[in-house]
Amino acid sequence: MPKDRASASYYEKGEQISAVVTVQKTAAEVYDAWAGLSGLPRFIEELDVVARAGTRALWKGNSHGESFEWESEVLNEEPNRLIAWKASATAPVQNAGSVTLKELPYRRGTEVRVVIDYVPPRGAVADRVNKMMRGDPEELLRIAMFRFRQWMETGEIATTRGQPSARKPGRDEEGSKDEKKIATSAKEGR
Amino acid sequence: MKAACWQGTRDIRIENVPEPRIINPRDILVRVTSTAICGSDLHLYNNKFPGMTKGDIMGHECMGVVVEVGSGIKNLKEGDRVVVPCTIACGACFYCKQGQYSACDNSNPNPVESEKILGYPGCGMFGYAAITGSYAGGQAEYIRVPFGDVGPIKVPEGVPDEQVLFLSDILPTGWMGAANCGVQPGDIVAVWGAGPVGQMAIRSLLVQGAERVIVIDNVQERLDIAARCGAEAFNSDNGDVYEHLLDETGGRGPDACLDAVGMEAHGHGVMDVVDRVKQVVKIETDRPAVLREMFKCVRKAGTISLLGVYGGLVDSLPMGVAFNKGVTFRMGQVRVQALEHMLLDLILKGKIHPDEIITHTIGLDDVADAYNMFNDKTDGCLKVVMKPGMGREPEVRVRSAAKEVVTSRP
Repeated sequence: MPKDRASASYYEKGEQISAVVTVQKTAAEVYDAWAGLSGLPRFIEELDVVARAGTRALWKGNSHGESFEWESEVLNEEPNRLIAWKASATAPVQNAGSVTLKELPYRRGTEVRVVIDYVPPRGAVADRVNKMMRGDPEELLRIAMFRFRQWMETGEIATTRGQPSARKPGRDEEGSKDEKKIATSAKEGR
Repeated sequence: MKAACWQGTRDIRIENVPEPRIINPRDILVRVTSTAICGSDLHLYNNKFPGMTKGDIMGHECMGVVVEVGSGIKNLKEGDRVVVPCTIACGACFYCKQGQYSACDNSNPNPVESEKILGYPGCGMFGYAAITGSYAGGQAEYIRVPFGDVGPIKVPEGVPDEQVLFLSDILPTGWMGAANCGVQPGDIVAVWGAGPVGQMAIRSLLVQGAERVIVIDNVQERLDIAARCGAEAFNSDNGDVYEHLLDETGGRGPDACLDAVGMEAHGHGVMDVVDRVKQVVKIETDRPAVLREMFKCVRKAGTISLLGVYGGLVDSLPMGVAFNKGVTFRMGQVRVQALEHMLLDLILKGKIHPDEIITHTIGLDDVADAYNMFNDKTDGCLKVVMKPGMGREPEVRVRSAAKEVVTSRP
């Protein structure tokens, strides 16, 4: 994803990642699915819950055996167009993000663009975060967006976890926590 | 259950693996009654296509009986006989809604993997490497089929598996390649490759109204099978393809050329040596001998239709020739789900007989020998069908059209 965006990073010494996908739904349908951030755990497997109370949102989740939690303030919400948030000062990783929606003419769907600014952590926090992320942050965001589209358009997230094979142990992720999570989230139906 | 698993170059083995289970609401489980080896499986067999992991279950042509459906499935039930399309399609994305099912946005669990290698996120497919999602394939006793409410097509009781099995891939593939030729009354179409897909394309072209179909191959048994359904055969070992085609078309060249060979084409001369070296050192994945020949042969303002699987990179194509001739190119992975109902109807009406190409029917246990035989084109092998329920058979049973060919050999 090119980094030549017009806007500078939100943080003075921060990084910016972004991803955009087009979803065959109206902006209203997409906006409703995000449900003011509390809908996120349905398609981001690492998140267990995002609890909203007024403009506050509490994010809780775990990844690769490490749990995390932070609080954020919703800065801006415009129905069917955008939602933007910023982590509180106590968050382990300073981050601010936005989702903007652009509905296309002729029922061509809605462009969903996510931009996240963050301050790369250092020291012990960095070690924990790296253990949880295991990959390039922008690629992980892109995977999450593909999964979001799968969820929105089909009601489930494509997976091969738990399928048979004669792969040697360690080469597949069978029986991982993520598998349980996906199976559960899929059952909710839409 | 038993499953044919990829274990490396020219190494397919039967392994005992767990039976599949329903994972997502729109999954179905199918007990496989018939499954076939496809020409494109040979790219994996010969390790010419990247992204297989040792232990992956092979196969993308299969059919069987539904044994379980997920909570989201309304159109199928336990006991239904279905043919399973090779590609997986969600039915709801931008592409599926337009019938372009093989471009599905949502069936690949790891679209980023495909994006990194090819530059776009491709659809999911059974038994075919990381870029199509590493789904377990159908050369097994059971298969889990995601989006079971979109792809699998019900077939009536009483119709033998052999007549409908190829709805999974090669019949719609051949049909789409033929349709991409845009046949007009009077058209002469040249088909490179009398393998299973070429055979389906030939039959499709004749149904679609081609005046003449000329098929080019160098395996005489395959040419004979093609000739029996109405094609004019030319053995490329017996002369120059370009001269032959020009002569047969009154100096014009064929109105359309169809490539049913693909990335493993056997070429001649210096370009073939260059291609083979490049392929070994991995700077060119495909050997495009047929493609170059088609550029030369197709008539001015004609059409080239590509069906043979191209995995990646092709070098040294005479684009100037194609440009100045004004050639139309059409290509793409088959859209099974868009064609299967119409083609089932054609089969049931007796307009097309896909089972004519089956030369061998065996149990799943003999899969290693079957791959070897199909790859090396020995024993007159054109198409192998495996019956997971058949158990170990003492010998290969030869049947159908190729029978005369095989038994009449000296």
